[in-house]
Amino acid sequence: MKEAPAIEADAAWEPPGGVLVWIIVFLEVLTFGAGIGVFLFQARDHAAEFQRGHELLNQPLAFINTLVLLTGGWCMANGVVALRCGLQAPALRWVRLAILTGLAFAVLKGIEYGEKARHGIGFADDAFFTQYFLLTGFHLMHVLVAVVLLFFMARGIQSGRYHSGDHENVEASGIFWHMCDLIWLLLYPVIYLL
Amino acid sequence: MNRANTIVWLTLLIMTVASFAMGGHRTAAWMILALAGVKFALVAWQFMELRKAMALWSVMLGGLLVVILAVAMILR
Repeated sequence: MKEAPAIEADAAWEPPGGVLVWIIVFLEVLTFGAGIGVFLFQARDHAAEFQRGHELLNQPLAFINTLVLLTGGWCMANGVVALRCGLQAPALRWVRLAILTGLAFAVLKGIEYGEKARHGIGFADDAFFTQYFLLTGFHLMHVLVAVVLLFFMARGIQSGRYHSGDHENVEASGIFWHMCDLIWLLLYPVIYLL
Repeated sequence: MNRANTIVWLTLLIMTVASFAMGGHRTAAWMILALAGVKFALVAWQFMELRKAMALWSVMLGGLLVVILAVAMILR
């Protein structure tokens, strides 16, 4: 009888998806935040290179990619809600749509990198492009990891492993997925718009 | 389909269009960063359901966001 309030208190304290995935969220946002700081510091020291590099970026493609990623976030959020409500088939559909948006983001990012390669722009060309490839490349790796996670979650939902009574892994994977949105929402304006 | 999620998603898309339209204008930098901050908060609050967790989590993530945006504003 005495233990029940403690369990309730834990449940209230724990964020959706569990504490561990949120520790990852904080560390990743902190790391990319530091990366953004370095990017902006370098922009002061190499103003001409950053101006030239900024002009060579494909703004419309990055804009479309932002819309794609936000749409993926919406799909995943709906997927988690549907699973909690016991709506297995819609949950699976939403998670699969989220996976598709992740893959679309990766393809568009590949097109963007391909453009740079065709213009003879490489990782070590100048301070701007070193930072650009580092920040966007690490972010892309996170998106790909999230896609793999969602793939396994979709399989689990399809097989009945995850359902309304057992969905914490799907929630945690969703949090990781949304973390990619958070990071991109900081990177996109700093790299492409400012 | 969750109605609140859809409203937030549409809001995020509209704000992204607004940011894109303002891109490249140095005078709009603070507005672009402010929009990024609001979008960040909306994703965390609605999609990541931070609203359901203890307020401390929102305060910590919000604090981190404010520090990053402040650094960006100072260094831009």
